[in-house]
Amino acid sequence: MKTYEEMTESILQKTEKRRAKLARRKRLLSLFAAVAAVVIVMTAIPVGALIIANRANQPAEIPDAELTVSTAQTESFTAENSDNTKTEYSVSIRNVTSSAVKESGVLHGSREVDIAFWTHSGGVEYGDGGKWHRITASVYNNYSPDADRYQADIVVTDGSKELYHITDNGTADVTEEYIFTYIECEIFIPDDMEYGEIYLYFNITGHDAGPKADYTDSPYRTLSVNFFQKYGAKIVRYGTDVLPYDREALSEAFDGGIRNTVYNAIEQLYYINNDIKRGSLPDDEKERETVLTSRQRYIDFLTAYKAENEEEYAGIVAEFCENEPERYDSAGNLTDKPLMRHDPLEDAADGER
Amino acid sequence: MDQGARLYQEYLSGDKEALAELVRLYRDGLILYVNGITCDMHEAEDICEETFVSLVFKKPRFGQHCSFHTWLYGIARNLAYDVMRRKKRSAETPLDENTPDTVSVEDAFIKSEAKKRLHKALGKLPPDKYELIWLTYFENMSAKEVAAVTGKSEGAVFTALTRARAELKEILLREGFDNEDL
Repeated sequence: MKTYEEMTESILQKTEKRRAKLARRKRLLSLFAAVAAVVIVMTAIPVGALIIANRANQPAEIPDAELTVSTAQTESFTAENSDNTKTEYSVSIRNVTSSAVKESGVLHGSREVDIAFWTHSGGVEYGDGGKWHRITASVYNNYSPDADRYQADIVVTDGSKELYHITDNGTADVTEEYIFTYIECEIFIPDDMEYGEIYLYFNITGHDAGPKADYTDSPYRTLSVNFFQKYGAKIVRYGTDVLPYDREALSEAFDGGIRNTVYNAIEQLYYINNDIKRGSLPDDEKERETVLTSRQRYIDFLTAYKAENEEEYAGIVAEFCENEPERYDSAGNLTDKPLMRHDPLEDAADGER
Repeated sequence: MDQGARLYQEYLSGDKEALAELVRLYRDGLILYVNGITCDMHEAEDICEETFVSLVFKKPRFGQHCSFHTWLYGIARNLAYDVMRRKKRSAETPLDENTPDTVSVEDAFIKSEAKKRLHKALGKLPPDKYELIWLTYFENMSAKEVAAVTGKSEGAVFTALTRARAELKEILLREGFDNEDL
């Protein structure tokens, strides 16, 4: 173990090395840009001559507006459909943020931000009312060795209010010169909802090593994909009113969709019921109230699910009883605690009577 | 402005000694906290050092929306989980708790003998529970601060903390603490 002084010294030395490495990279990048410029000019002269020669023999054309390249936002879509097939579609943005970033004075326009965003159907089927879609957003931020922290959010709305909001914060290794991350969430899209929006926000915080060095939050890059309308897919609100912003529950839904969410809710309710029985709820009134509010949300959620899916619900309860966490000690060994055979939802109702 | 924020500001203004003071102030707690995530004392030390390198190299702006303490632990936690993701190490690895290094850092950071015994028991908890207990009882963070460091909601912190406490209590009872000690 280093002493405090040794660690401080080591921190300063590592920093110096990284600064030197960064400076070398910037010089290389400038050299590369200069070489590229020469190549472009040398290629453009004969191509330009060819175009001029060609045009001389053709009538004038109306310029194609689509050829006007905007660096503000470029979206490219691949395939998508709204039936039950597993077709993927994607949306990508390149150089979306050049102008905004330049204005912020944090990251320069030369830095490229690639955002690839896709989702695929074929997730967990849920009755006839719709199905779960997994949304994955990957963010690749190139040539930004000094942009080292990020926040990525996926927000799903029905056009007026948020239905889901998933956030991911992280750091990037400066030595790797890029930020790559992905976040994902799962949304339930019912058949009777015809409009919705997905936004991807990506916020980078970086440090410009130049003379105007400043550390500040760069503006969110926003990708608004009206994919429901565009591709005819539909979104439903089922479930969103009961666990609307519970990131934990949503993140735990990744692998098993609604089933996992229900399993998780049963487990949480079971724990809280047990805490009540043992009198081990938090002493602090505010904490206790928060726990009890959560409990009510689980009860509401499970009651709604059970009313529509009694058989499936019984199956999930049976599975939970079999795996009931408290049958195992902290080392993971099965104890002689008897197998629970009842539904935590009924347990909750008993407690209230 | 809290002490950490003041020292960081002084460092950014060119006072090198302020960095040494920040290291003295936060190093041991950070290492013990990160050790709960990585289960490897040497890696925890590297991550702690890397946390300070991040401050010095990138000079991130401290927004003062939380305390410096909370902010610093958030950075260290992100780094630790990045490392864990890269290495895909099992979170079930027992905590590295009996090395001479661990003992010396523990001695420097934890003054009370009862708390040292508690810390040893804490090593038997899974990392997610370890960090909640550590931040709450050894770093004296509020639920709001713990939520800020771990990225959970306050409600999730409360419920998870209740469970972590119950599990810790079982461990302590097995290890000879009696109910009155608890």
